[in-house]
Amino acid sequence: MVKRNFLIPSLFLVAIFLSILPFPATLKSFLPEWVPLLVLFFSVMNPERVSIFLALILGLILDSLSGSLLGQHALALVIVFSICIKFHLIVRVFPIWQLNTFIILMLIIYEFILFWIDGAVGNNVPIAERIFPIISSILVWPVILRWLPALKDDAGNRE
Amino acid sequence: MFNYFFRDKDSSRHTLGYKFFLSTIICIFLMFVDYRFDHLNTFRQTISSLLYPIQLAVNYPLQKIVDINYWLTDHSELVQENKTLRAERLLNNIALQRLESIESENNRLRSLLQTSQRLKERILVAETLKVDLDPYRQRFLVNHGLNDEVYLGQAVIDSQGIVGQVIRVNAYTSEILLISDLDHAIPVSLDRTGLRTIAVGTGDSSRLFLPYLTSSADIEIGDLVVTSGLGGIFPSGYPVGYISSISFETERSFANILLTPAAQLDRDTEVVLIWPSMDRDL
Repeated sequence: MVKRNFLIPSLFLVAIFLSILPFPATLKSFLPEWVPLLVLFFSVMNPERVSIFLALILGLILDSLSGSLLGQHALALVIVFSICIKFHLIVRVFPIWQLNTFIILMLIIYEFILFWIDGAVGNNVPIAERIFPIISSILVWPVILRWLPALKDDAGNRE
Repeated sequence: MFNYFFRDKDSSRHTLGYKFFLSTIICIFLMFVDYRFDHLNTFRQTISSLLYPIQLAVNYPLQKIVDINYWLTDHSELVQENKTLRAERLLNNIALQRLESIESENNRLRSLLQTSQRLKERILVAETLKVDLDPYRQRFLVNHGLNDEVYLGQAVIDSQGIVGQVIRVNAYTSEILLISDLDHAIPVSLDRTGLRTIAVGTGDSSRLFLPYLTSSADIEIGDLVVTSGLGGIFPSGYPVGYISSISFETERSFANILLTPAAQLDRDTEVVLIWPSMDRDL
C-alpha cells in the first residue's frame, strides 16, 4: 500500500532530477522532456491516478527550476494533459504506431505552446532547438511504454 | 492528502471541463502577473526555496565526483601543480605591488583633479550549482542568495573577466545571466582607444557581438574590450573580451565585429560577486 502511494511521486521526482542534470551545451538541447513524457504516460494509461492539479504543480516546478515565466510550462502541461484525458479511452486501444503518432502530436503541441509564449514575451529561442527535444523524447517513449507498466505491477497495482 | 488532491477516483472526464478551465485561468493569470508586475517575487522565492533540496540533491553527487577526482590525483601531479601555483603567486604578488603603488598614485592624481575617488570593492566567492536551467538560455545558479545580501543586477566576475549579472535572487541561491545570453547587452569601451560601444550576447558562450561600430572605427583583432561603467550595473575597467574577427559588408554601414569573452563562461565552477562601493566625492 505504501509502495503504491509513493510510486508516482517518486517517478516524477526522478523525472525532475533528470531534467536538471547538467550536460555539455551541445548535448543539452537533445535531451528528452522527461516530465511531459511521464505526464502523457499516466494520463493515457492511468488517468484515475493523476489529476490536472498534478500537471499544474509539476508545470510550476519546471517553471521555477528553469527560471521561465511562471505558468509557462504549467499551461503547456495542463493543455496536453487535458487532451490526453479527453481521448484516453480511444488512444489506449490504438495500435502502437497510432499511439506513437498521438504522443508525437502531443509533444509538438507542448513545445509549440512553450515556443509561442516565449515569442509573446520576447524571449529569443530558435525554433530548431524546440524540435530536437521532440525527436529525443519520441525515441525514449517506447522504453517508457515497455518498462513503466512492469514497474507499476511490481508496486502492487494490478487493475 | 496526495490522494485527495492529485488523484481522481471518480472518472475524471466528468469534471474535466471546469478543472481545465480553472487551471488554465490560473496559468494565464500567473504568466500575466509575472510578466507585468513584481508581485510574484515572494511566491517565486518560496517555490525555489522549497525546490532547493532537489537542486542540492542533484548537485551533491556531482560535486563529490569532482572531490574524488581531486583525491585520486597523483602525489607527483600535486607537487607539480603546487610548484606552478607558487610560481604564479610570486608573479602575481610582484604585479600586485606595482598595481598598489599605481592605484594610490591614481587616487592622488584624482584628488588633485578634484574628481571622485575609487574605493575598494567588497567581494564574495560563490560556487556554481551543477544544475541545468533552461538549455536555451545562458544562465546558471550560484549558492548565495538573500542570506548573503546578493542583490538584483549585481555584477559577477571570474578570475579572467566579466561573467554576467544577477537576474533573480532567491533565499539561498541566485540566478546569473551570462553576458553571452541573447537578451544581454553590456556597455563596453575599447581599452586601446577608449571608444565606447555596446556588446550584445549571441547565445553562444564563445562569442559576443559588437553591432554598433561603423566600418571606419579604429579597431584591430586582439584589442582588449573592457567595461565602460556606463549603465551603472558593471563597474568600469573589468575585461570583457578580445576582438576575434572583423568583417565588412558593403551594403551595411556598420561593421561585423565579434569578440571572444575573457571569462570562461561555460566552464566556471567558482565566480565572484562584487559589491561596488559608491564613488566618494572629494
